[in-house]
Amino acid sequence: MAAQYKTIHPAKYYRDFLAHDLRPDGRAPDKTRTVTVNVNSISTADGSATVRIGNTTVICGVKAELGKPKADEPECGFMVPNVELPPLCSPLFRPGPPSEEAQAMTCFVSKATSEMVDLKELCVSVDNLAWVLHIDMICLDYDGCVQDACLIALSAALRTVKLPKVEYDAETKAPSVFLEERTDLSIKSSPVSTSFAVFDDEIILSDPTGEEESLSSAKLSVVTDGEVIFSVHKPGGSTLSETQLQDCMSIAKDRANLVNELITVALSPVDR
Amino acid sequence: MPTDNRRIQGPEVSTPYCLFRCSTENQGKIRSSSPDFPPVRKDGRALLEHRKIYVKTGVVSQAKGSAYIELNNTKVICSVFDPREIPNRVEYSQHGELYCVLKFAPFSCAMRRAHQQDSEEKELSLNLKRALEPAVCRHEFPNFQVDIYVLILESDGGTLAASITCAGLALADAHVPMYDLVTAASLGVVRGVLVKDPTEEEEKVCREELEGINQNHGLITVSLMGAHTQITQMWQTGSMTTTCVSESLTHLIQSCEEIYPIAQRCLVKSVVDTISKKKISEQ
Repeated sequence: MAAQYKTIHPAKYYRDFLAHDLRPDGRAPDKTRTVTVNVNSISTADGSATVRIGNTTVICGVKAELGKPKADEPECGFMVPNVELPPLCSPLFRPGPPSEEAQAMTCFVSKATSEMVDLKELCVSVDNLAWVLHIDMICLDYDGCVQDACLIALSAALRTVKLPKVEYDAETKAPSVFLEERTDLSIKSSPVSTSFAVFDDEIILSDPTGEEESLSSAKLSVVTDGEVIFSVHKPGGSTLSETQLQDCMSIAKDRANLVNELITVALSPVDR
Repeated sequence: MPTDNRRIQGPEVSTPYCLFRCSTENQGKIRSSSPDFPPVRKDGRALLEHRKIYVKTGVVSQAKGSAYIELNNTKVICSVFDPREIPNRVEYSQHGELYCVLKFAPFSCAMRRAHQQDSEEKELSLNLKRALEPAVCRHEFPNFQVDIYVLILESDGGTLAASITCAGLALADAHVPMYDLVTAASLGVVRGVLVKDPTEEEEKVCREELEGINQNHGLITVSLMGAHTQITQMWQTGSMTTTCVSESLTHLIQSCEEIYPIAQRCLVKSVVDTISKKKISEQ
């Protein structure tokens, strides 16, 4: 019976649940879903991580290559993050070039991560050779808050990257790579994004599922590392009061601390 | 080259760092060892031993049906969606269609893959479609197509075989009417020696034609409907004598039949799980 009711009148179905301060999946409105982090899942990548937030799954792989730096920034390397929403993850997407949503997400992630790695550290030889990190985040299951999962996956994957030592011979113009000597990337910050959905113009749902996202009247994402706030993004929709915004920020901060702790645990060596 | 302004672009030319590796001893080792195939494989398997298989259905919550398969380092995920009307089609088609798209993740291989589908992926998509078509009751959904999307997360040999098995399971999980479950296996031949379920490195050796020696070499992938013991598709490359091919075929059918109960058990488990979940929610 409940299933039919949900299909016919999804908004009312949610309202009935929220009247009791509950969501259909059993969470209170301010509760987030469980996050799972798995690192080094792909051996062909130079760094990789798989992240699940509830049902949402994102896999991130980093491929390191060598290239020539740009003429206007000769001492900088490259980070090339791309979010992909393949048709595999949801019936909403069709094969072809990235959808607008995927492009917007790529933009969001690349802005959030621009502060994470110092591009100058990726340089091997000024104006001659630099590292190019191709970072691909692929959504495997689209059930809300994909951008949050992308950012967590990227942050975890970057921490697993071990770049080999490279020497550049300026005379022969030939690089030589020492595969045995590898160093970690130095990551400066660890931003974590938390998304919220506004339901019926007043109820704020933390970490919404795909269904909740599609029914919501506004969305809000807060990117923070637990102390500093990197960005707050609220694209249009219904209005929010200042106290509501403050509440969201404090939830986001708590979650950022939790997620960063989780990433550290996932990265710590395990005895098998 | 046309520029892609929908993605963030790196520099125009970038090369994988492995090409510049300078530890010379390592390089020599690989070269000297690759032509003669070791009787004991690197992962310690016997020549006719298949890798261990892990399969799971219902991995993508948004899809109608989905499956994941893992053969050591080969990892493939597949999802299947509800039948929909074939877009841009004027005439009526009696049989439903399977629309297969196979894609390698950019980080799935030793060399980085492009975002666009390349010719190898197109070829594999077509092979996948051909392998699945005979098993699906296509007359049950005329003028409709079923979308099958396969993503290879990591490729270490036997990708087509893994994709076929995975897609077969996902179709069954999506309740698409089928005559039988499809399972597939691959086999490599090098210098007349048969090697079951070769890894990427072994596949590469099998593909090479050795100079001066005119011996059997190549790869075969076969997909089979287990209950009917009917071959839905067979793909052989390289050059082999007919006796070698028929010998390989018996081995391949045997491995397909070994995989069949694993796939069956996985489906039974998913059915049992759904029923028990339903019972809990009804209480």
